[in-house]
Amino acid sequence: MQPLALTETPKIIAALAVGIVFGFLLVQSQVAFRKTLVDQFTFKDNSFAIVFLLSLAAGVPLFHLLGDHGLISLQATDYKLWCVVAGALITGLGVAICGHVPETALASFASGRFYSLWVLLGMLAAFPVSRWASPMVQSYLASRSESLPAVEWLTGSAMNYVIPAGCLFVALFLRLIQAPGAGLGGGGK
Amino acid sequence: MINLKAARLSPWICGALVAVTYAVGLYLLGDRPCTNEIYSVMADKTQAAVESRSVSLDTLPPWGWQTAFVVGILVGALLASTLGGTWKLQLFPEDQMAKGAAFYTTVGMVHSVGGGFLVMFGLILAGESFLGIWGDCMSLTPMALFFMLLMFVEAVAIGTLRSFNIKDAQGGK
Repeated sequence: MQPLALTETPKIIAALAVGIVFGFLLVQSQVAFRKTLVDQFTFKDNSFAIVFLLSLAAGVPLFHLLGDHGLISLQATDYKLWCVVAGALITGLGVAICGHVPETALASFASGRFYSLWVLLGMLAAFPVSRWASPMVQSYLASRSESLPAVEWLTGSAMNYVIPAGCLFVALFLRLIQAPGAGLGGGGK
Repeated sequence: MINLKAARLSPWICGALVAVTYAVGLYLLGDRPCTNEIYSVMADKTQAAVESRSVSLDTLPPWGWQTAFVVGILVGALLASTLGGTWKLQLFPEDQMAKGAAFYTTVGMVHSVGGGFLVMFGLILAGESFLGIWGDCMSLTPMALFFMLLMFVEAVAIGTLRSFNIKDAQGGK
């Protein structure tokens, strides 16, 4: 078996449907709202972390199962260590400042939070700058990134059960330490 | 009868559904659903429109599957917020409005634009979109997991420091 990999109009319709479900889930889980992410970083509202951890808990065995049957094929990006370190630090700073990632900014804008437009404009502005700066920075960082040995213990079949269990445990802990009532409602976000 | 305004999926169910939706997307599209490439095209088109000082149909991004994915997110979020009763017109974030008009019309906007710029620049530097990294985490790619962990730890550190500053400014209340 292999991925369906639709083409042309069916692919566009499928992408539209997948996007609609993603947008719906982002708003339903309140991850789309700026306040949810800002509150996540002080652990007042752990909705974002719970959504992420639960997606790993469900996704790791699901991806493993579907990958084994050839139904999905996810070619991992060729990450370079120092590019990832620099990218994560810059992204983390940005998320802490504006409270959005690209997908949540879109969903937030569509749910009436028009201030997300400024965040989206900032994101668009990053492309011309990155075309000038990123190749230089990336090539510099990549030249200093040694290729890491494969982390075999992480890809072992046992991890398909250990990591989901660990994610569930951490998510449960985060839910327990969350203040009562936080993460519910959301009309004011 | 189902009360749509009261119907709300818990983060637990949403998390599992995100994984299923991502897997379905991978199966149907044969490619990871992401937004970075269409943002890149939009940035080019915007730049071209600004330089030519004219807006025409040519300045719109091409109607491909990635554009459809972005439009889908907008439609899905609009549906969820209107059906759930959370659609609310807000020109400025509430936490910034509490600091006064002088803040949210100047510093607040700089925070939003600057923050958005840093988020996207960081993702471009890392070499993958946020959803792409999320998907790589689900396939247990060590670098993607490391990215998420480092980003989260840094954001928590900054968020905690900022909350201390706010408390100090309010006199420790």
